[in-house]
Amino acid sequence: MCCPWSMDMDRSQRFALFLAALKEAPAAHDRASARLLLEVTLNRIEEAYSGLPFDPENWKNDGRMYPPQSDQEQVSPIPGTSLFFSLKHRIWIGDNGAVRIERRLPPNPGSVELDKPGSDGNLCTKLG
Amino acid sequence: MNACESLVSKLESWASSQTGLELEVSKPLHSTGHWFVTLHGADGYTAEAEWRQHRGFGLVAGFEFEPFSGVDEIYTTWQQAYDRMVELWATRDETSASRPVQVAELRKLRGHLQKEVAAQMGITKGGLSQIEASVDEGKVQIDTLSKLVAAMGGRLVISAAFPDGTERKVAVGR
Repeated sequence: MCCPWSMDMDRSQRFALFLAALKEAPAAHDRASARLLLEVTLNRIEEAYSGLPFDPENWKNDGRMYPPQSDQEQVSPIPGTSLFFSLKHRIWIGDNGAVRIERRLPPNPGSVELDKPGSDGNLCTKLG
Repeated sequence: MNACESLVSKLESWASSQTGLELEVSKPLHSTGHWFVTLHGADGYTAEAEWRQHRGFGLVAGFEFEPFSGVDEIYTTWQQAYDRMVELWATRDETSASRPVQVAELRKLRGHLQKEVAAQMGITKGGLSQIEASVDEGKVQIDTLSKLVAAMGGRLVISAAFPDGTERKVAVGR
């Protein structure tokens, strides 16, 4: 069992910390601040607990988690939202700052890991 | 037709003869963005290619995936990506970024012919075949392997891994 202050947590532990930190954070007001919240939160946790250098240009799996990049934005079927793909997940960002992280690859594709409302209280799925 | 559309077209033809397979294609919002081509198996097996226009096809495959991570294997051409995806589908192998490759496979993955690498090393094609075979047998000298990797445009890196999980690069040469 890792302690929050120790390095070298495994990826699933770090991912759980990331989700918990996103849940606790104040709701974002718009798309840009929601993306920034996601990036800053993930990079902060990886910097503290992965023990791995930040190297987003390295496309290969280096053991570290990286936030979705603008190039990974896909065509969103829900108006008022942006859709990003990362390995294993769909990440929806609402124009109201809502964030939804949903599994798209096994195990349990379709299951929702985070559904955080925007500052107006609405979820991504309520937009459009 | 771009390289990813070529991959999709070939996969669609191949998939029509397969059972328990669903092919999913996700297009990017922006023209320079990344495409995702995914083979979903009824048994939960998944093989996915992410296409980056100027870098090629990144592949992952297996029954379980790590979140927010990079790809395990990278291929330059759609044909290489297609061949590997079909192979993965047939074998149900799981990809790994640390999967070792035989040196001849590495040369093919890098898109080099034997005669090109041999010429770069100043040896014959037959000589390169012998070197590649000796690498597979674990009987190659480090400087020979280093020259072979350099002839493909790379740099040989040797690491030492220990049971406690520690891994360090070993300094070889200067």
